[in-house]
Amino acid sequence: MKLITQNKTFTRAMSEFHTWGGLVFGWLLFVIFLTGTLAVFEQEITHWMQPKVRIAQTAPLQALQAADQKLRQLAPKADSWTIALPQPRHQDLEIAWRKGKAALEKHLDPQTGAVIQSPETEGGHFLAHFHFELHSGKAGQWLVSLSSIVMLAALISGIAIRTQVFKDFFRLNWRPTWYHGHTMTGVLTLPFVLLITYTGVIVTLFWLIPVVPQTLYGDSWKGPYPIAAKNFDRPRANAPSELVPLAQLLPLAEKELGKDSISFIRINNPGDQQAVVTFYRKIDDTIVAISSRAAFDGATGELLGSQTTLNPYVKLFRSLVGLHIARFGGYPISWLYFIAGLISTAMIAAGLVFFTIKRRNRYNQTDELAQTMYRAIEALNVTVIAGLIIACTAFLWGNRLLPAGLLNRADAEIQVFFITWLFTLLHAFKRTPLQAWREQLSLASGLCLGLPLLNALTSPVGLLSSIKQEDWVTAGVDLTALVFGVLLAFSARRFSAWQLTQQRKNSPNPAASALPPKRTVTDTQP
Amino acid sequence: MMTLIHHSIRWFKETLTSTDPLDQTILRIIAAVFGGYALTATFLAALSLVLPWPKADILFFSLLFPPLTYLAAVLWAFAAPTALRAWRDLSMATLANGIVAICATWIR
Repeated sequence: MKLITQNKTFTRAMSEFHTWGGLVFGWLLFVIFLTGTLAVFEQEITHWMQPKVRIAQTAPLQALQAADQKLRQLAPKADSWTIALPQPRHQDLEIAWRKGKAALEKHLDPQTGAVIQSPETEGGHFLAHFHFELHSGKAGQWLVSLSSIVMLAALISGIAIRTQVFKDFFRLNWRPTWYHGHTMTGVLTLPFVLLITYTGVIVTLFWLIPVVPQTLYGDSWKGPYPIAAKNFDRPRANAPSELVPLAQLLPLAEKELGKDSISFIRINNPGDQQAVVTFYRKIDDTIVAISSRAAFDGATGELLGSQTTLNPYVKLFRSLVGLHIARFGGYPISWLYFIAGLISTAMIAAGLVFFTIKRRNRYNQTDELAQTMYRAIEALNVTVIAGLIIACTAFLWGNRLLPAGLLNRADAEIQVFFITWLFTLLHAFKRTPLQAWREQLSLASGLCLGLPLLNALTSPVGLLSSIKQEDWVTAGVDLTALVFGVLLAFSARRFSAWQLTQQRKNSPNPAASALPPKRTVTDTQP
Repeated sequence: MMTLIHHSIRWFKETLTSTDPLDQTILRIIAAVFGGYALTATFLAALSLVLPWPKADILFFSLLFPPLTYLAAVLWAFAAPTALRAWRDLSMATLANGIVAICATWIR
């Protein structure tokens, strides 16, 4: 008897945790999951957002020569140079240099060696960073970490309160309700969500709770990088010495790391006797997200050393990171992560909507305070779900519409994102929930459908011309936006229909549902 | 001074044993967030001092655990029959980790 009551209180505790913890952190988790899903294609989005940066395929040697020449010309006295060679998924030759605290970067045309004037943009990098720190540094990382822990706890509590969902799932007993929308997608992506949440939170908590570095290394701790992999840099000698041509070192580096495998080069103290040139191997063909490297003496061109094997625990850690960032396996894996991410995002959204649907009729009869609270929850649901989709699309619109020479243009794009999101918040509080859903989903759909059109009108890389040029990365972003637009238009219609039927079914007095009679699909059905 | 300590202890006891659902929930949330941090931090300290491995191995092995200890703390903070139980158990576990860590330091 005691066991049964204990079980009952346990289930109730878990149920309450799932409901309220899921609601409050569900808003954050939706934001984290949607931006994370988009960040799978971070490089592609960056490529789309830099329409001026379109280069012909070039041999790495030629690209390196162009970069070398330009860096000697532009930054002979810099502390360090970096060169990012063109990669299959992001055709861009990027050079950057650092002098003290100042840092600059330029895009180059590898064939002519000329600097490409590209309007400033943060690109897909913004989404990837927003995904794990919400644009607010350490505080954001804490919020994301706690949300991730709650996500894991919500999975466990969700399973604890409703073991029935597994039976329903495997007997294909799927019904088109919000409850089943939440639980069936939940079971479907359970392995993915477990994997992605665990591997993600490992990284953030490693930085946020630095107890182990403290006990093991104390004050000598200089971050995990020098421990994970060798760094061959040397202190400056302050004796000038001509840097060996980098193109001369490339074949030697390829002998160490593999043909056509170099993605990144860093030159420390260029023009000094103690200059070091480090070549980094690409990571897009391995789960272990850490580059093998080979370093050369910049003055003599001698091999200083290389690292191609790792401590097994470093390998384990970087494999878990690799499983999170999904840079391995090419496009099939990226699309798998993208779709699994979208389904998980939909699972969270359905849970958030289900919370209000379940209570809407109940709170119509409660006191004013509770009504205000549920009203606010509905408005926040709209802002977080539909509003964020609008804000993300507006970020891309801003990229094409802001003037090219605008001061701090990259920040302005981010401001477009936040200001749009703020407006969706105001709108959601001004309108009734149903109006807000319908209007914001329609707007999101319109922005997505209009994106290829805007791109074609404002840039030379419109859908048709990029297909003609076989620039499938740019075309892919346009086409994905179109698919999103269609899905959102569909959901805008379905949303109104579902909610109306739900209300009819539950409400004893249909007139009391107090919503403007708008013709929808179900209205015309008997 | 003594009365102040006495008062705070009594206030603390009364709040912890309060049956008001809102008080209970707030106490559970605090236990989850800060108890989870304390449990994780002490667990990591104990683990890193007990393992007889090279430092780099411990560093990159220990990072597998924080999500699990934090998760355990959050689940127990809300699943425990009362907020008092949650606080007591999390404090005990944290204390146990601390003792292990201190003993390991002595033995070294």
